[in-house]
Amino acid sequence: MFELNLIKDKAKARQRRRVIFLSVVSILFLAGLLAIFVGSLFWKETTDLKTANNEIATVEKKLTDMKSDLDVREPAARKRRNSVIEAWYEDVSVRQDRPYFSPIIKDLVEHHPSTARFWYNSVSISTNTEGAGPRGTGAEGAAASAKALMGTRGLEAGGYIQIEGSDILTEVELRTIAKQMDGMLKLVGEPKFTLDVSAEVVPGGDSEASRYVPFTMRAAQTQFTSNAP
Amino acid sequence: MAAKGTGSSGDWTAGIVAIVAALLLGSALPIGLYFGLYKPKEKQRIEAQNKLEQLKTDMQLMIARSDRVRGLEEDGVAVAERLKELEVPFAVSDPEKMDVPEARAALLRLAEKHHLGLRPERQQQLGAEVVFIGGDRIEFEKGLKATKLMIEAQAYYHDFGRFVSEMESLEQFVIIPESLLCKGDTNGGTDHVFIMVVYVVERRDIDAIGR
Repeated sequence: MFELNLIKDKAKARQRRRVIFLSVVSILFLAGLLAIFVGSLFWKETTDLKTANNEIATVEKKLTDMKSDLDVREPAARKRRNSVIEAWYEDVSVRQDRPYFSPIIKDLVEHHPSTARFWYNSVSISTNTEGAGPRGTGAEGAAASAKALMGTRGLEAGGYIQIEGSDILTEVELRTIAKQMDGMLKLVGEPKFTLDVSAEVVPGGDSEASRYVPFTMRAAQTQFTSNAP
Repeated sequence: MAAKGTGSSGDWTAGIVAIVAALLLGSALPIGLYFGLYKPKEKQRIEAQNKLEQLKTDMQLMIARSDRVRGLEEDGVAVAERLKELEVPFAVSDPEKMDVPEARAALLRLAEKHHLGLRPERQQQLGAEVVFIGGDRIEFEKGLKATKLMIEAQAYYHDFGRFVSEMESLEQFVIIPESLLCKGDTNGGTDHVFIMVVYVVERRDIDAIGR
């Protein structure tokens, strides 16, 4: 009986040890599986990180290259575009808005007082340098010269008029023709005639018949605006 | 019986201790791996991906900037083409001599056509011409340049008037008259002296503008 119990106990003990051993092995096996799973996750993260880092390096290099290229190109392109636009406007302005002398020359020929013989012995058209500023040297001087060239003009003409009749009527007539001088009105403003009656020359001594009176005509506008073709 | 009971209970105790120890030791490995390796790596990966997203956004902005720069360059080319067309009637200059040979030659032809003669005091001068170099060159605010030419002539008023009219309407050149001095014939005749200063607008070096 005692022997039988001993055998039974040994069997039970063996079974217990087996259970314990199997439990421990199972636990360690599951722990190992879990560790492998975590390891695989870690490996995936490592691979993803490497790929992302490679991509970052590529994009960063591309960005740096593009930035350094554009940092050079953009200001240059902006400066070039703005400069050619400014040049274009200046060219258009110079081509369209320049003074023409032929209308003045034509006016001098076409407009005469009908009751008097009239001629010029000097005509002078000059730039108005006052409006353009001082003409110095160097770049400022050149710019002032250009401004004067495109700026206002002054006209001064002198001559003799042969009057046969009233000075007052002649003066009225001169004022009337001054308003008809379209070319001058556009370019230099309305001309003003001045008769120097005190310096008149009377041929033959009969001042009622005919006399030569020196005159001056002046015109200068403050703002030049061309109506040129 | 006592020996039997003690032996059984002692085996279970040791077994349970062994199981718990295995459980603790076994779980320590994956948990350690998870928090020690995986989590920091995941954090790094998320940071890298966020950075990548940011870089991609920057790249989009950079591409837009690149398009804008290309647009500026194309604008520059287009305006330069228009400028070139606009400057067709501008003269080619010789800056060293302050001359515009083609324009001066054209004015000389025009002077001859309208019978503009040399002033009496210049008729004996060697190589004297009605149109000659003025020795000045001016620059406009935005870089346009013009060369000065002098016209000194003796002529009938109408001939000179026609000369000026034709000069101002020349299609090949843009000539800006600056001043005119007309002195009447001192002998009471019809041959007057004309002194005129003109500026001939020069063609620019378009490729060099703004560079």
